[in-house]
Amino acid sequence: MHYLEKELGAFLGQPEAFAFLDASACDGFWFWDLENPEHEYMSAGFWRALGFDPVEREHLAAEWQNLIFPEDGETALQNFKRHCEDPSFPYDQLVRYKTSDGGTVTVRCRGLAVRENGVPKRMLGSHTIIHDTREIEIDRQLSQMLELSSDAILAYSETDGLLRWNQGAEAMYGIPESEAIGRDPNALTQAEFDVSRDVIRATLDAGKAWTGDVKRKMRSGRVLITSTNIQRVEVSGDRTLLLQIDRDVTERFEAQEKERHLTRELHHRIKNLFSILQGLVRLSFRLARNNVGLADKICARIDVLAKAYALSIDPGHDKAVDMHTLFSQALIPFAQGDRSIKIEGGMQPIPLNDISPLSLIINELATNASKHGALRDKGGHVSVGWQEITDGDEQNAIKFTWSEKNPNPMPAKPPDDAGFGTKLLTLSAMQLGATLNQEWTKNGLVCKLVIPFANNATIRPTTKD
Amino acid sequence: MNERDVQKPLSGKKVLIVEDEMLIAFDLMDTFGDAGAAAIGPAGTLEQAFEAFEKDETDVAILDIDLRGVSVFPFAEALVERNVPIVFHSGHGMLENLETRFPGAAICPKPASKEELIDKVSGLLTAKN
Repeated sequence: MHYLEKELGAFLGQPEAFAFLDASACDGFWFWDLENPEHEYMSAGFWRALGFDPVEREHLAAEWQNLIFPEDGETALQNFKRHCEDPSFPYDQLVRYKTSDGGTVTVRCRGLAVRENGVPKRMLGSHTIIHDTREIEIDRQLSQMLELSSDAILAYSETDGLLRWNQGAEAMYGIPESEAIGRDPNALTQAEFDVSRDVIRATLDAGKAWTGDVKRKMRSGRVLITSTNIQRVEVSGDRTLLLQIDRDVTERFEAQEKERHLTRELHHRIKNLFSILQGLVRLSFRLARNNVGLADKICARIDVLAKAYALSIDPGHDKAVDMHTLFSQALIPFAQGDRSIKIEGGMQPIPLNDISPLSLIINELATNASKHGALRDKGGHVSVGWQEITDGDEQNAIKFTWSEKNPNPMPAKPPDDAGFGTKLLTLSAMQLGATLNQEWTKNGLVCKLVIPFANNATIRPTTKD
Repeated sequence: MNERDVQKPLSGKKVLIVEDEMLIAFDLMDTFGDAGAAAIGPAGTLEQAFEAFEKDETDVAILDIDLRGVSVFPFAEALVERNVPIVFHSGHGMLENLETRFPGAAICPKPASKEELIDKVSGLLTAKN
């Protein structure tokens, strides 16, 4: 043996030699008591390389077992077992550790079992942090991206509970990693699956990923809907881990719920509308003196309902429609030639429910006027107006007036074929909870409609918000 | 059943109509009137329904579920208490809940034919007697 090699052997026994090697030759040593495997000496360099203060760490194997990536820990364990059985099998692998700042490092971990009579008693190991290869750097970055993802990314085993709980999971569920580790993630988040666990297990057993929406609760009690993807990965031998990604889809889910609700509401309105049309057609036939022109009259009334409906679904009118808009639209077709219609009245919101009956009333009045009244002959005139009737500060009712001025004298009496038109006026007034008063003067018809608020809470003017 | 019964299957029965759409309400009044019944109403609000029910004896009631945003259920419960059969006549999609809440009631989704309504009412009255 070279004399210096001999001297080196002696020098290595000195404390300062070990300190030098620990600081400069690699990124830390470990020395493990295989007879009492919870005891393991980790050098100061070991902890510094991972960003920890060596003073705060204990010489227990559990100290690093919490930091190594579980899947890598499994690989190392398998290699350890084989190396113990067979000294020629090297204990040498790359493993990933979490650092104190939440980052990830890749470490080449090598070790040598110290045997007595062939039986492993101790094990000496070293860490070398791998900085240089591109592949490892990408792997490290990927690990960090997973850690920082806004999705919750978890790894757990059916027996040991959660092993990884990334920052996304902490943020999503408001539960820190320290409290999540070791727990069942689905119990922790009070998961409610819409399929049975057996279905999920069968999917995973078949080697497929299970995906579905799951209702969960944050620590604060707030309910979340997650789109969850679970897959089972084999780590080593017969040991498997479950990897799960939860994405918060609560907003999307709520939007879908709202859409479902709107669709239901729409179905309801359409069914109701069919029922109204049935009533309209049947009542028209029942009250008609003869069938001449009946189809046209029915179609005209359906047209009025259709226009009222179109007004009520206009996105600009989410709660109410202005009286002026309603009347202008309904009366345009009747103001032709020298016949004039004047509409006077302030802003007056009409609740959506009242649009149909009011439209029908206007249409009946205008139709009658064009057949028997002021809108029949050139020079005829109708003025339409409304005003609030107030009692003290309270707004109690709206008084609506329809006043005809005939160009030629007319009999001061109701027309002979009032039939259905009159019935429709009466019914629509009833629906509004209103009183209807018609007076035939020699100038023409004057019709007054008083719509009270007290009788109908929804007619109160609503503010758009 | 003689011919008169076929044409007037609800002869002498008092049918209360609760419906806020007057075109539908009066069509129902006529439909039941044609079937021989004395149609009561129509009540367009919950208050009017209770009023009509206090004033007149009622053999059976036809109820729209949504009366301008107000649920008819409080009135339906009063009817159940007094053992008056109910036909729900509604376009609502959530009719399945009705069967658990009002087990004895008949359901006639809108739009319903005359025959359907009269059959349901006759059925309930027969079951009651």
